Amino acid sequence: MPQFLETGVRKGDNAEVDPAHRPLPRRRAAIVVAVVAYALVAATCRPLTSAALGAVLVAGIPLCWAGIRRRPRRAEPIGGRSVAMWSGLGALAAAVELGVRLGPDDTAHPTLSTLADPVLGTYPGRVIGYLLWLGAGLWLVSR
Amino acid sequence: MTPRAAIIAGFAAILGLAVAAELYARRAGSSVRPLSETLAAALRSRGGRIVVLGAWLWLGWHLLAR
Repeated sequence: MPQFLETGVRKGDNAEVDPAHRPLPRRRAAIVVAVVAYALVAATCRPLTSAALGAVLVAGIPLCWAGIRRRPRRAEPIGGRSVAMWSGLGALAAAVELGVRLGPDDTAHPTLSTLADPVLGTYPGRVIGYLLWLGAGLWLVSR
Repeated sequence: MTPRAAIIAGFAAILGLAVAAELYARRAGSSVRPLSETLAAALRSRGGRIVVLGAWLWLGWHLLAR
């Protein structure tokens, strides 16, 4: 007698409940749909409005909260050279941005956000911006 | 060179440095790790998570909402 008849479980049933194959892609698909829907709605908010601030915070605060509270996966220790190199580059970028920000507020001294305005000033550009930003946040929280 | 051109060149140079550092880190036998592994290591501690996620939130506010 075939094994699936002896156990009373059909092959089709096994395929339905196999967690390695079905639920994870479904969950991922649901997350992708939610992220795209969020980006499409959030991008309708023009920058420099309270609606845009709300759109960033409504996704950003819960993700930060979840990321700070959750226990991270094990990661291999890295050397001091890696930390020095990447934190140095980050500090350099932050210093340039801060220096420009504190300087004259005109088009001759553009900050990163001013330079991004031609792209993020359009709806498709904002959709891509929200997708990249939220995608990066989800990646960070899942580490 | 105008101030605007100098600032754009500065941002472009930092981006170029980051790309070069990433390529260098991905070489076999490199003593430094790629950005993704460095971030994952930073996220192991609560303080690191606060800094990294705070920077991510600030970037979203700065580029998309400010």
